[in-house]
Amino acid sequence: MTRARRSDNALTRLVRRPGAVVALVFLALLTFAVIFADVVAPIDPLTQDLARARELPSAAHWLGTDGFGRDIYSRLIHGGGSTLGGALLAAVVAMTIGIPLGMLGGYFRGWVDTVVSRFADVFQALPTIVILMAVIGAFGNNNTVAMVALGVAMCEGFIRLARAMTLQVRRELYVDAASVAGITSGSILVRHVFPNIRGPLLVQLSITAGAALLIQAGLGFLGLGTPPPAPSWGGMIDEASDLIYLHPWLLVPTGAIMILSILSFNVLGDALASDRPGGVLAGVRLPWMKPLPVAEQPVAMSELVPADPKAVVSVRDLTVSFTDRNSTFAVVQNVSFDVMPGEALGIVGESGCGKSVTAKALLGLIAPGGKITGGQVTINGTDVVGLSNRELRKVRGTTIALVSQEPMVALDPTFTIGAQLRESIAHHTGRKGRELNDRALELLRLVGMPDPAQAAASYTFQVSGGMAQRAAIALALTGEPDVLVADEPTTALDVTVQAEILDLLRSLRKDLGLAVIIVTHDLGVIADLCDRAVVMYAGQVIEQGAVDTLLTTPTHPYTRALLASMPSHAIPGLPLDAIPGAVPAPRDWPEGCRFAPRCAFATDACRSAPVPILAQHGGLSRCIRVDEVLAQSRNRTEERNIA
Amino acid sequence: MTIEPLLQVDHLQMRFKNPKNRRNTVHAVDDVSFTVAPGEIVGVVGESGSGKSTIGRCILGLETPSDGDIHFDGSDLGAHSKLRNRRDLASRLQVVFQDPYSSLNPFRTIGQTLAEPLQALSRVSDAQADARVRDMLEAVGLPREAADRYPSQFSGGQRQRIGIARALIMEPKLVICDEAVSALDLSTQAQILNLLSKLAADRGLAYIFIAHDLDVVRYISDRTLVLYRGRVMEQGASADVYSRPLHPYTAALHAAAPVTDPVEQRARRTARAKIVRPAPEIGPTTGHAGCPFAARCAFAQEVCTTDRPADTPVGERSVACHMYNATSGHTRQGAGMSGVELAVT
Repeated sequence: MTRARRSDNALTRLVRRPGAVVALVFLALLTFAVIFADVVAPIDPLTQDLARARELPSAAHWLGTDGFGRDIYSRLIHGGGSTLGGALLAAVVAMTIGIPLGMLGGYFRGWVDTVVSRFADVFQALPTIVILMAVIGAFGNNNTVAMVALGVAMCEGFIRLARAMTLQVRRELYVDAASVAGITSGSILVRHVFPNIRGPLLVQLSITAGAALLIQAGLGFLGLGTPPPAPSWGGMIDEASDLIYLHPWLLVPTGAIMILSILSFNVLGDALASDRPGGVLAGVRLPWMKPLPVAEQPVAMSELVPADPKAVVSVRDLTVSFTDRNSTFAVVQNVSFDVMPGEALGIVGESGCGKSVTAKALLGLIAPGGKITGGQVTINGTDVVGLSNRELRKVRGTTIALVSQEPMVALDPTFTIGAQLRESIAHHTGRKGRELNDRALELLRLVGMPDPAQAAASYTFQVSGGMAQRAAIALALTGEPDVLVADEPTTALDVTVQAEILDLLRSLRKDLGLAVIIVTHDLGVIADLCDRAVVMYAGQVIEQGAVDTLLTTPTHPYTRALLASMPSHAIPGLPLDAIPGAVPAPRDWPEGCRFAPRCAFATDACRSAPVPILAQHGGLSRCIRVDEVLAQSRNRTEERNIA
Repeated sequence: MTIEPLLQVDHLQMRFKNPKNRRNTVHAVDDVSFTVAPGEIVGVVGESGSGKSTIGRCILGLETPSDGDIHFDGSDLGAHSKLRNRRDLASRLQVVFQDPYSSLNPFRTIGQTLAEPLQALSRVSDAQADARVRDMLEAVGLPREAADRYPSQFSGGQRQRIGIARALIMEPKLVICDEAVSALDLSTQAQILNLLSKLAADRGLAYIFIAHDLDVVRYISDRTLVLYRGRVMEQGASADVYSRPLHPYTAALHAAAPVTDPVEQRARRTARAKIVRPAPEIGPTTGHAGCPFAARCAFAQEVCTTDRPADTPVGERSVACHMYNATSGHTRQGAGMSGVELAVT
């Protein structure tokens, strides 16, 4: 965990983003120049010199002169006040009206919401430019009045956004918790809702400021807002556009400063929007900084798993690494295992141990920033590491398929289940017409849908989670794969539904000879479905073997501790055998045995050097104290039997 | 000797009407009654859609029930205005939520989050509040400096400790733990369960422990309510409900939870096939009449789909199943009990 710094505030976090710093400096300089325009640009912006009209930049006139020989640089700086100031004024007015109204509507709903929404509707229905014309008509050509009116007309965007975001945040549990704690609605809005909707609102503010800047310039272009000859950016563009073919340079300085201003608003808005306190900000990595070293490589594991030509999946020393701003670090190291046809292998461990990354790497699916940096993955005789995406697509689905944790995410809600199956069957097998439909229904029957025809005609949101998972499994089977990778397929399901899905996977193994690789954190699921299991901790395999022995006489203290911490093994009234601490992040993996800091058996020998995985007691175990672990387990069993 | 219950829930109902179809009303909580004694831990177990969280939210005042009474520690939770009610109750009734990631405001330090209810409800100085916050953090196994950090700097298990600290800082009498350990890894879950047990014992707290895992509920709670589709199927002492389930649904729930011993797991699998029929096609059950579990129950008869089973006392326990009611017309009278038991053991 990072040490807290007291100076963790929005500004210190902001200056760690290079883009934001540039934007902030630009806007600060521009504001400074505009405020102290007389000092920064001493030439009078109104002084004409027709003899020196339309000159290119020179020492006297840094940005050249316009059609009347007036200094462009000076006009830009002096005109910035009305344009930039006007745009900011409009944006601030819009924000001040819009945010409170939107938040009230979203938080209290009911009639408050109706009133607020209708108010927003009115302003959305009225064209902004018509409102501005009317205001200028009534109050004369006054920039300030026009910009306040523009702000009121633009408040609708803030109302809608603040309302939508508030509706979302008010459902957050911390709002519920504050309400249970007796905090008043006003305090909840200020302390809990506002900070959490601030990001998108800042983006809206920057977009609004940019749009207002354009509208202000547009008014100037029409000769409204700031009456000529007083300088304004819009007026300057208007004048320049008359001479665009003869003297294109005239448009460049004004155009550039407008683009840079709007860009800066947006960059700053984005940076503020993604601001989160306490985040681990790695800072910027500059080219001359060296990446931090990768954690010590453990002893290779491949020799321990003998080559078996019958294996349908063969993984040897698989290593997956991720790169971030500061370093490259492995999240999975030297994982080796085989899967036989029709066999079920379980990969088990806590979150952050690399089990899901390992399983997905078999399909070549790795999150952005990561890649396979070592080892082989052989599926049906083909090494898939290093294959291009196109070659991988041939393997995916037809040889190895994936079922994920969230069936609702795997399936597209805009198509029926039948349509998705037919599309995938056509893609994989080239079947057509009636055959497609017959095969789809056959698959749905195979995965235990009670009424395949009705299921095929349903959309995913019309079926329960369990049925959706069956449909997702049917979809995975369309390419008739030999191996099914199931990544926590039952974690999101109820326990009675989980039992049914596990039954289904068991029957698919028996009927189709399908090999199953299941990733789970539940040792009960392993016991129910698998022949063999791989236990992972901190990116490494720490134990591997047949389920019957692994779950009854574990050789690694981690496996043993996981089993002991299961509530089904707990005796009411006695504390559970919890494992102290938590799985460390990949960067903090210890040099020696990675489980040592949490292990009851650890000695200095465990901590000093990486521990190799060895064949012992009928399986593989990455522990140098296996005998002690087994001896204590035996004592425990005896104690229980006596009791 | 009867102890005055701390919380008494009577005939609680929560209906969600479908505005497009009046007949399609969802009974999220359907006539639920139970009590919680001071210092007692009551487990509420059920699958998604069983209404277990809605019961908790009704008690907390986060939802307004459609019908029924809730009496807590001398206050009628239906009678007061919402705000006065909450301010008055906040120091006696608290909550620990499931999701450690959305239950803490990412923009406030842990200290600010914990001190907020203290400062809102009782006049304490900043220094006093800060001292109490840090003491509380220590009590839940976190360093005192944790108060200066933001939620994103903590792991899921640590955030859950913070959630517990927030609930306990007001020294409540009853804490509703709404799936408080469900989102955690096994080893962290064990740590948090130990912490909750210890705090309950040390401070004489009562919990309503809502979970979907029968094993977790059995371990931590004194009494267990088994819910299915908004109704209490069975309630009684946790040890009894677990080891001798009366209701076929409880037995099904028990048999569906996989155990880690492969041999025992094979036995459980066989047992499950005897009590549960394959899941029926999607869609609502038989409706408001009848037993909600009838469609999946291997012992179901016609009476189960037409008549609502009454809560029938069996010893110290109560079960809503026709098999235990001599006048219901179910032919497996009495024999049902041994049938369910046989299937499980």
